[in-house]
Amino acid sequence: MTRILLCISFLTSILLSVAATAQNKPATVKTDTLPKTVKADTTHKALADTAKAAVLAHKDSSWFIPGGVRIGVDLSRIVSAIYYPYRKEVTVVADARINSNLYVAFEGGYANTPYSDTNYTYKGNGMFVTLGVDYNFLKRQYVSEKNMFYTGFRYGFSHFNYSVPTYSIKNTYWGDNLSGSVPKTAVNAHWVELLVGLKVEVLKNLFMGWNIRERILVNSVKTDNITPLVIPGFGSGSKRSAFDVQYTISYVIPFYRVKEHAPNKEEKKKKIPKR
Amino acid sequence: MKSIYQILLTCFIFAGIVACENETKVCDQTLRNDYHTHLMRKLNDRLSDTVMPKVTAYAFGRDSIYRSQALGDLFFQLSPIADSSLFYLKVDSSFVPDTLKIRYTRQQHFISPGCGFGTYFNIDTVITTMHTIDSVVINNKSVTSSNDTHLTLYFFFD
Repeated sequence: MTRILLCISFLTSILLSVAATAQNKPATVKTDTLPKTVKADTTHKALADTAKAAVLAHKDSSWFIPGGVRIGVDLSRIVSAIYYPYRKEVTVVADARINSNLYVAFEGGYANTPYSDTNYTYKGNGMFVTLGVDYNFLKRQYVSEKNMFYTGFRYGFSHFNYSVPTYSIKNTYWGDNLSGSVPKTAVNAHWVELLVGLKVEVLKNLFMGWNIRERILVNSVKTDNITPLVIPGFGSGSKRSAFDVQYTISYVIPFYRVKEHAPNKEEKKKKIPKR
Repeated sequence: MKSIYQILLTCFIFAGIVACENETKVCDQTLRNDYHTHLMRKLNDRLSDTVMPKVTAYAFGRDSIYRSQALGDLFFQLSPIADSSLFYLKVDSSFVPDTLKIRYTRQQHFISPGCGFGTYFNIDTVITTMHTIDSVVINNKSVTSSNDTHLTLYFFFD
């Protein structure tokens, strides 16, 4: 069952990649309203005046690109909760454009970790937040393009608590079953993470994307008695680093625009061929 | 451009496979932390490892651990609910048996999500009768794994 679900998730990622390729079509330019803003830029009027003015006008030319806050959820947590029944996690992702290629990114969520087997039962829950930036490497093919191929950095923090209501230690030779419990313990975890991924506009302002990320735990959460099963937002509590994938669906609320200036490039002088 | 997406897709699939690891399903660490006892013998004024021909050992009131077996190393399971364990040890059928009392402190320890909990022992004292055993040396007080040698028993006979 779990294998099938994994296959479904991989197939969906293939579909997304196809969708990402499809975004290269220039058809979207037609629907874009922003070029009108470029036309409205008064500095361009100066171009018609003199050659000297044209150079100055080019330096000052700017236009608006779509900004806004993108809010979404991580769908991979649904698959994860099926494959790992003890990892029930909800992750909300958000980012906001601060300039043409830079985004401030936020993630937050809540995790519940109920686990039970013949050896022990475990109860854990907690919240987490990550804050960082994403840098878009994808060269825009039109001004309003919002697709992203990005890399990012995050700082993560989690506050959670856990307890082991019962555990038993079996000894085959002595025939004794020792039982005990670990009281509720509250822990803070800090980590940093690096990620790379894609976000593709599949419908107007609606994005789907995935990313892969490596998390490195900064502080230790282990105690002599027990190691937490899961650190919310990080992953396994017994490891110092965790590899993870995210699969997001998100929507941009485009309530602001970002001013973008033309790159400051000097025009190459035309060479007059010698006769 | 397509090739970049193909590379990224491959990375994503690989990452998905790597990330799919359920730690609670596999017990990847050994749960055995028996008290590893090594046997040595003085022969012609020389100390050497030895294999005793017919070793019989058991904890008092419990089943036999070894019954007339040729052994050079013994592994005793310590009681997880008491602070001492008492063992009967006879290294050859013709020899007088000895008793071995091991006193220790216990600590419950979380081994891994797949293995659950176990007990670590810290040896305090080893008391033996001296019918066949000449002397004992505690090599390692901390009993967390059966791989280490925790105790050496010396036998001085021809």
